[in-house]
Amino acid sequence: MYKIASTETMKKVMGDYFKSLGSGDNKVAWCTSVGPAELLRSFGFEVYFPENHGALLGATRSAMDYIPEAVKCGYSGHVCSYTTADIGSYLKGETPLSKHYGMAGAPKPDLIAYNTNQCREVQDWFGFFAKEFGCPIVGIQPPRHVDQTSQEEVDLVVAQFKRMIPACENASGSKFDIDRFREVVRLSKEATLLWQKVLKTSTAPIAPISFFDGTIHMGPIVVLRGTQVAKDYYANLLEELEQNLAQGKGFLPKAKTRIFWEGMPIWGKLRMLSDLFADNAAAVVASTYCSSWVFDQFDERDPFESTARAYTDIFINRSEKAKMDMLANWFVEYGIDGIVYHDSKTCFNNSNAKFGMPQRLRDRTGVPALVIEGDLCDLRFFSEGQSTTKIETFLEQLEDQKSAVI
Amino acid sequence: MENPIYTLGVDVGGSYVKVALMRYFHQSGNHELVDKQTEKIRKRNPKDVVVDAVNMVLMRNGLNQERDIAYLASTGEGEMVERKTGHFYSMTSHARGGIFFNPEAKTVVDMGGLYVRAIKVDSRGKVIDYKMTGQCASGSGQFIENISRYLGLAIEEVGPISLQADNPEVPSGICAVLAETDVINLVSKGLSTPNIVKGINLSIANRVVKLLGSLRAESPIALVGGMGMNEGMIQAIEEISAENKRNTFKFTSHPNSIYSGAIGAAIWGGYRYHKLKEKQAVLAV
Repeated sequence: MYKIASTETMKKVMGDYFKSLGSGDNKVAWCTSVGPAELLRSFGFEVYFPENHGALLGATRSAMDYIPEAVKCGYSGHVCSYTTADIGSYLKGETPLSKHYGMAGAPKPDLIAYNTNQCREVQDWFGFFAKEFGCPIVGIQPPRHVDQTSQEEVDLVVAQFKRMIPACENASGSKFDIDRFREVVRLSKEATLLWQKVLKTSTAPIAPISFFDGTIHMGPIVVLRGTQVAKDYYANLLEELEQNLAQGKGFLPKAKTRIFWEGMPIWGKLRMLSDLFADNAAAVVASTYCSSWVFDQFDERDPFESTARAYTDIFINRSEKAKMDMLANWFVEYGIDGIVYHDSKTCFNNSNAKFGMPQRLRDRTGVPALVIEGDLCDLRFFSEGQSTTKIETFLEQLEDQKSAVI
Repeated sequence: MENPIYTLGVDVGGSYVKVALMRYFHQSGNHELVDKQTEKIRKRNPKDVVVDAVNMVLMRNGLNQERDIAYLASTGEGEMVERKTGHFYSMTSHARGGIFFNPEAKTVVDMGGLYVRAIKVDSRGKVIDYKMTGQCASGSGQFIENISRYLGLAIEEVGPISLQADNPEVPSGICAVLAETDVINLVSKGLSTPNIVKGINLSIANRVVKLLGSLRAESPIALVGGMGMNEGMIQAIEEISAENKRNTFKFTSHPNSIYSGAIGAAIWGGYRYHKLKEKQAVLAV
């Protein structure tokens, strides 16, 4: 059976990361996953990502225990289940971090920073905790749904990044150091380019890393970018995958179809979905989700502008036209036979099946599309039976069209 | 005169196992449905239900599988059919079954226990395009079963009783849970059972017609699957479709429509049997 050996290293890297958060040695900043982590890290903050905790609540299927706690406080069960699960977990005083990493809970923040490039929900979510902890909060509010990011738009975000600096200095006790910032951006860029190469190994006919593997191996690029640890991890992972490629080893050597996953993972059903696709000889080789942590515009020579541009240019923050162009290019690059859109009930912003894009993209590219309904964390919105039937039907038809034999 | 072969189709769905025994005519294509059997799965192991249903059909017709059946084709949950010769995709089977019922059909609507799917087909029954209902039980046969149980009706009564409605009330078409609470409310308001049942049929019919619109379906449209036998549902679909003047959908249905998957699989089984034979003949030369 195919296994990625680096998974063991990854578990250690993530374990060390969480333990360092709990040590109390450094000041702690909370940050959105596609937020200005590099700037925060340049002040010496340990950076904690509540979204990562949200994913953990989803993957451990404990989210449904906590969401009702947030609902009691007035948060609708139909808003971001990362938000409601994370707030509920805090209110209940329980977290899977205790079992997995021996932590009492999320580390207490000295500063909270968010970027609404992905959604406005993060503002409410992080605002709740700023109030709870009596902690300063800074927000980046870039232009949304951009087609081509203009210089004026980048300048606006740069100005917002610079406005964060006094709050960061106060909370960290350190003065801003442009050279330190450049260094963090350089490390972040190098790690992110390695992550990009990791993902692109699956452009090969026998792909060595699936979307489902990617959702696990992306841990360090989310929580540790800007560090040498992340860079080293992806260098090793890439080396392993390239060796596998050279030896013709992949996660599904006899795949009949190649699938693109669009939208959020369904964290509590990763194994079930991975098995379902594999049983139907379908290799899920690429996704918008894993590709969202490729920031290839980072440039240490211009750290403010390059990070402002990269964080504004992320897939989720683009116009439909820009998203369709990106997807069409990925279809060609990865040799995609079909795309599965996850229409996530509580993640409106990262669900792209609500305004007719699947039909328009299918008309443009000829790549068949399937929309399945579910959620990132709240499995009450996911019907395994109905989704299985839909996915099997879709894969059967793709295979049938490819083979054209009965 | 062409010598037919016997083929068996076994369709294992979410609620029922359906078995169709076919006389398959490879040259003329005038296949005949010889016998059929439906078994509700309930709480039994589907594998056992399949064995019982197949044995029943074989016994009734004095046939022996090894000796007389050229091909036993499974569809649906194929792993539940241990004695199969081969498996066919569910939608492919239903599409072919639809063409068996109406050779002119350009669209087949499979209305099953768990979902509804509209399938555009060519004259051979090959799938050209399709659309399925979204994730909600309110568009499914199972939902009708639940409601009929609540109303104290046998499933066979649901179709005929719907035809008696004179002033139906349509419950929520969005969510099965809300629709069920609507039904409870309608019962307590004293609405007659025919009007409640017709309202349910209209709400599902509404979804079916929308699905056909989004598929840009062409007529004639063959209604198949378990719900395709429900004449109340067929009437509701025709009424909803007629309300929208832009639709020119023409529907056909058949009392054996629950067997569409099993029949389709049996026909494809016969086709594959002959193709394999032709291949072997070529290799032998």
